[in-house]
Amino acid sequence: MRLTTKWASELLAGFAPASDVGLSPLPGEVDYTSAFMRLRRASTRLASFGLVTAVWLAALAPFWRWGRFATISQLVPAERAVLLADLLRHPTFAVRELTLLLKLAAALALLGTASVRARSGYDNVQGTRAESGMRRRLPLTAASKERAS
Amino acid sequence: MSKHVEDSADYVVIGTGAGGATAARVLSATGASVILLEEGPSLAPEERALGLLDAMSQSLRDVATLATHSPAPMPLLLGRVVGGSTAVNSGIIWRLPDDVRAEWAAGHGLGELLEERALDAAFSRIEAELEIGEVAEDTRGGNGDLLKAGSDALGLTGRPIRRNARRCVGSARCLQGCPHGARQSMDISYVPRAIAQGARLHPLCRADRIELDRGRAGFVLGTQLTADARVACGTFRMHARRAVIVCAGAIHTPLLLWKSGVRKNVGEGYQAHPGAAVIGRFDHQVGMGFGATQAYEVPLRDRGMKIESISLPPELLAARLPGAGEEWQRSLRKLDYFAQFCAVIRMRARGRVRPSLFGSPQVRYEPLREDVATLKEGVALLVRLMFAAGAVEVLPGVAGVPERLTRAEQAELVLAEHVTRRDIHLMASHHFGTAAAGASPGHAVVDAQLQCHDVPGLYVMDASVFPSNLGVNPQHSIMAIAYRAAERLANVERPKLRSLPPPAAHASV
Repeated sequence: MRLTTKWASELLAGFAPASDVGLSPLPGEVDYTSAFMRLRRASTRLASFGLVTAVWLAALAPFWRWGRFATISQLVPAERAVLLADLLRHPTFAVRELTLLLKLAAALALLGTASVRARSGYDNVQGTRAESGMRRRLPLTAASKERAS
Repeated sequence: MSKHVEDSADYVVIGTGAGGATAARVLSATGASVILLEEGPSLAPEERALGLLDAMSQSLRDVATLATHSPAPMPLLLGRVVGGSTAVNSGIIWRLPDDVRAEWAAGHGLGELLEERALDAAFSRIEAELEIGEVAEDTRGGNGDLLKAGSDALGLTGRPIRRNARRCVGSARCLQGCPHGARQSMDISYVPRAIAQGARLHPLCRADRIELDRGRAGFVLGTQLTADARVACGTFRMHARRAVIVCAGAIHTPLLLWKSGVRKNVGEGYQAHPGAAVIGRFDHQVGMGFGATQAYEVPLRDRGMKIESISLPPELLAARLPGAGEEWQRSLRKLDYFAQFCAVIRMRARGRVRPSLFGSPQVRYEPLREDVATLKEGVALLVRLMFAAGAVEVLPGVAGVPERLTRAEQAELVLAEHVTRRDIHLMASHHFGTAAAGASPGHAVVDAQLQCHDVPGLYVMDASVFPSNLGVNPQHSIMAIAYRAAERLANVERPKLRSLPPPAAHASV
């Protein structure tokens, strides 16, 4: 499982490597490993299996896609991005969908990082209405309160 | 430490979504005691996370990774939080269409439940209590404005969406849970109202089985969960003196019935409203980050679809943009220049829900050939709408079609023979029909009172009982039908209790 986690981190980071072009995370700014682990834990058994399968499929893709005796770890960041883009456009449904699952995990980690989100421009347009200011907490039974805490 | 909780009431309601919360609100108003069970946590508006992974972990079942078992799995969006799916949807309000009401009354013996004046009264009361109104112009946002511009240009009749969020401030976070409590989802409206009327809420309690008590549904047995709603930390047993009302949604209601030994016709006839979306890039700021998440719609029921504007959180928008590396990163730098519209399809296909070996739901569902044709027509229309609204390029998200279209005529490419169901990403958020209501025990699970044909005292009051899908957003219909059924149940079970006051006497929560 340690290898899966290592590859997952490299693959997720591979979607948006350090670059002068577009949105680029700073070194160490995004915690891909944590996002991958959280997504796996919260998913259904089948989806969790799908994530692991996706990691192995993509990590070994340099071999089955390009015929190179290498894993994702041996590729430089720019090559990883080329490989991932290739897998996202693969004619086989399962290959492109599993790679898309990895891209979703990468996007959750990347845009889930406040500093990266701020640079994406997503929140640039501000609203005009004042907040309604409603705040409410439901009364719970005693047992529920204990568990929630 | 493992703990056991016991409680008893006249009614035990399983689920706090549109059906369960409404039933609890009606029954508790008559003076009856009510227990509300909810598998997910109770979250205050200010506890709603901004980040999508956090928000989904809080309130979406399995972070939306539950999918249909089919050659091209379709994710199923299901809320698992107090308020159910109403706490994570856009709060779109549509009354039950007349043609559907007529079909259910004539074809399924539901005429009395759906009696026109009584049902309209329930709709009116709910609309008064939940602050229903059209999305205001100042919160339509850039995404909604563009759908209006596109539909106007193509001569299609659109309108601002009616929602239960008159005080919306346009934070574009409906799907994560409104951080301002402006949307009157059940956790903000009917659940607190039921509690104020004496109902007792037990969140983080998953119902596992219903047991009989002297020939009637009498006990609900289940598991207490830790704060993340994933780990068991105790058990519970709730006693229902008068009735157990299952409102766990059309995916989990049949599961619970199945596990409780009620199996005849259960899980059959599943229907949905799958949707597909198209993204457009504009040469000016759109700003999906502001406005009602869903603000404008173009109803096309005669064509089996409805077009809606739908803003995505940045994480999902990013995942939908093509490519990897520099191509992707260039798009990510300008997330405020994209818009998204979706087509929600009233598919004819029917599927089935059953428990898997692990006890989780297994949903077998695959669109029919005619459904795929409607879907392709819908996606092609989305492409045309985007260009009509002024998009400089459109990203249809359809495999086998260029990732970036630059001319409206290219919409025809989506209609090509080689484009199949597997080439289009679908997601389903409306689910129906897995414990269908009907007068005939041979074909239905519950009768016209929504009581199980085979088990006295066991009721179902959610979209499971709908004999078919609607072609419009179902939340309002679920609430009104639960309202009617709960009123009738209260009158049958406790005729001496004071009846519900007229609409004008109800104060808003």
